[in-house]
Amino acid sequence: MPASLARTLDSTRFPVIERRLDNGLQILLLPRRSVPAVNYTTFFRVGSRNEEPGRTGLAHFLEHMMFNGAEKYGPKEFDRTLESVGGTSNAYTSHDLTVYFEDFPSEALETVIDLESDRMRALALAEDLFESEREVVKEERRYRVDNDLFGTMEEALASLMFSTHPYRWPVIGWMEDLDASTRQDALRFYRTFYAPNNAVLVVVGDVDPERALGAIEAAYRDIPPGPPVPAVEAVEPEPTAERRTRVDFPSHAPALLLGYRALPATHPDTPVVEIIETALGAGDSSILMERLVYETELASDVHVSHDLRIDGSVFMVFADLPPGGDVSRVEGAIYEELSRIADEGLPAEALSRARSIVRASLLQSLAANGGIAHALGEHQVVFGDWREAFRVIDRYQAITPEDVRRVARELFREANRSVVTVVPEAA
Amino acid sequence: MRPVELPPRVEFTLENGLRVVAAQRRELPLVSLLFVTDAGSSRDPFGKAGLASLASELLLRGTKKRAPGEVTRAIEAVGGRIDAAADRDRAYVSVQALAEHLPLALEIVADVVSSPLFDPRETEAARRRQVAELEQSKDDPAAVARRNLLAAYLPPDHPYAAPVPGWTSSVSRIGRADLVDFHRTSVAPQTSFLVVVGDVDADEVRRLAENCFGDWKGPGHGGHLPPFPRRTRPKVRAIHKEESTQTQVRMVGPAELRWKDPIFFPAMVANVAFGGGFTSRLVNEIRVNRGLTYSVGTAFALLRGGGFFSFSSFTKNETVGELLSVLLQESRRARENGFEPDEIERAKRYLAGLYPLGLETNEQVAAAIAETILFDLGEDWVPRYRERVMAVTPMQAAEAAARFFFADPFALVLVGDRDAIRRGIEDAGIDAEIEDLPLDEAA
Repeated sequence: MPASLARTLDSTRFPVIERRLDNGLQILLLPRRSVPAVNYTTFFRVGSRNEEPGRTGLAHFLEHMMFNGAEKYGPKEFDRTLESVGGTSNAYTSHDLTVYFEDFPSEALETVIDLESDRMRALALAEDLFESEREVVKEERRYRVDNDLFGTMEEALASLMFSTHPYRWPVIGWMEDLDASTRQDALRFYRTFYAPNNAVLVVVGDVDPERALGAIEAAYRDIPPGPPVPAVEAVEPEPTAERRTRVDFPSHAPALLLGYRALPATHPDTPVVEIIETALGAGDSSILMERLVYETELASDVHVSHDLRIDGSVFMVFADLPPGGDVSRVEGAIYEELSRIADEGLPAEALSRARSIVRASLLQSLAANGGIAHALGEHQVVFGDWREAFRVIDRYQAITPEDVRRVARELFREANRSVVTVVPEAA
Repeated sequence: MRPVELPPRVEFTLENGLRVVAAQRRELPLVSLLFVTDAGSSRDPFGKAGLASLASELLLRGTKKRAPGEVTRAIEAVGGRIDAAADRDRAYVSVQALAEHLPLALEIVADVVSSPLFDPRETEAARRRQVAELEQSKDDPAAVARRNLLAAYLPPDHPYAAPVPGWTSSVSRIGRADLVDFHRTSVAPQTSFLVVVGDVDADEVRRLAENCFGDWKGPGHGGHLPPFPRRTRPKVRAIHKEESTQTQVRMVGPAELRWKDPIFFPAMVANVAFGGGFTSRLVNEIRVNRGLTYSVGTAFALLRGGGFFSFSSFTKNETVGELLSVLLQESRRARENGFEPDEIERAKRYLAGLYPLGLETNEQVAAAIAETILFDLGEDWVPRYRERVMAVTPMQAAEAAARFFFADPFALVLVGDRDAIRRGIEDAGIDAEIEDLPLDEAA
């Protein structure tokens, strides 16, 4: 590894200040003065995996309601207050986490602390706004899933890959459940999962650390801790055969989505899967781009992704075919490449290329306050230690061709595979 | 407010006319290169829309000394990334890499822009890929709406009418000779510049640039863009898509606005208050109060040959008319009455507050430097940006609203169910020329 990189990616170079309040709230703070701005990110350990059947989509619906008023800042006041101090905010919900973040000029820190602690302490969940927000979320679902090819295919894939675990339903939830959810459901969910002991707060940027910590502690310390969060106990049984479905979608060209059940995010072999993902799909000179797009023209584009999840990650390969393209030939070519890795591992050159890319992407993500806050927070929440964000670099370095072979052999088994296709009717 | 500054820059021009800017930022061992050239899609000959886009993509598929595939292989092998793309006015090549790979990165950029191969097989393959992508984009209603925005407003032979990647029909007509000719006449050192930002030394950048770009020659060219005709009556381009449960809505109108106009900052502030910010009037009326959509936005597009102002949203089939009515009513209200002082104050603080966030990474700083060069914005543009935003008055913002927020006949693009679209236009009482465009001709 280049020496300049080894020095930069050493966790001791990041003077992160760690605190834990008596109510359980964990705080990570990293002063950084590259621009006069601050990123303030709150991670809650809750996502769609914590939902119940019949009330799917509640975690994401609640994320929307977090912008619709609390005790001190009423309806519409969150964003108005934030924008009037020059800040911006957004949030997202995944299968495992719900994350809220603000970017703002240094002077606005105390306002943001006030806003965020207010909605962690006492969310209003006003009935009328609950109803109008329900319609907003349904529009989001129509946009992202019902009228979107990939969204429709991904939803079908999850239903194939999981039969028992909450990962079987989409984060945005089923339309019927969005209609059925009540304010009471959202309130119960909020009380269960939005307590300080279920959250990690990360602040990165142009702040005076002692003043910032003092203000954070003063604002959050009287929020009572919640009861222990109920564990997700569903265990997904091992698949015994390949699963396959053809989705009906009015499409002009065929498309293929493959899913493999991968390892839990914290599994020691997860970095090996990340290397395989990068070798297969990152960049125009990756294995699948060269083979499918440039050499054979079987596909016009290929995306490989590895969605890290607490209870078992999902490895996906998505291929867009040209009109009239042959899905089975694309499948065959992909399986050949995956089998080659399972049989032979990765050639030294491909392994070294993948390592260089994952290291460089980590470094790129550390160029902005928000990127740093995400790297620290996600690793704190999922691994219990933000330093894991940097330790993974050593793991990548230690991966051998035999590790790649061993992990790929297990991952790319036929019985571990689910396949979703879209084929236009005329074809 | 702590001042926002660009890093100190060293600027020089090579003998062949290529302008180079180097800016040092040492926090991380990274470098970002941005090559900008005057070869956007507005130079595509009529009937061959998509040429600039295809030409830029092919820069990365082989040069006289690198076989197809070797360009990306070389930079990705060391963890770097190279991209090439065109927009309406320009084409770009950018590289992100570790700073120690600056010599390789610079040499590759010089190689791809000065001696691309346009290999016959690669050229055919890229053309087929672009046609396939256009076909696939018909399945994405938001993409269809976006691509048809200026096409709905402008006459078809205007250089800005076609979307940058072209139409399936026009891309099919592009041959290798067109690409070679386009590159030869459009990409030249005198009409290009290079920005290098990161953990680099300006003297080294100069030495490397002289070595790599020194021999590159090419004919310069002048810009030649016809002004665009104003519409005299609103127009609706309606694109029917099977089985849609939601309709994509775009509206576009002319906005004669330049970066250095006195009304530039008032226009930016008014846009945030109107539809650009999350607490803007349109977000509030369409999303928050009525739950009609998930997403609402307005934006200016300031092109070399003139500017546009556009609105973008979507809603379920049943509420297309309601969304359009609110949009028209709010546009009229903003034009006639402007904004409340607190709306303008919030918009100003929002714009000024966010400004430094666009200058965090090397890539962003390189883009900001490129912007100051392209629009001749002057040394004080970045440091004084926030001050100029904060100086905008409600009166000035009202003037910008009156001029730009769909004051003139507009074009509307609706993608979704045919009946929902028809009903929506009627419900909103829009009197317009209606063009029903089959989805197959909309990409």
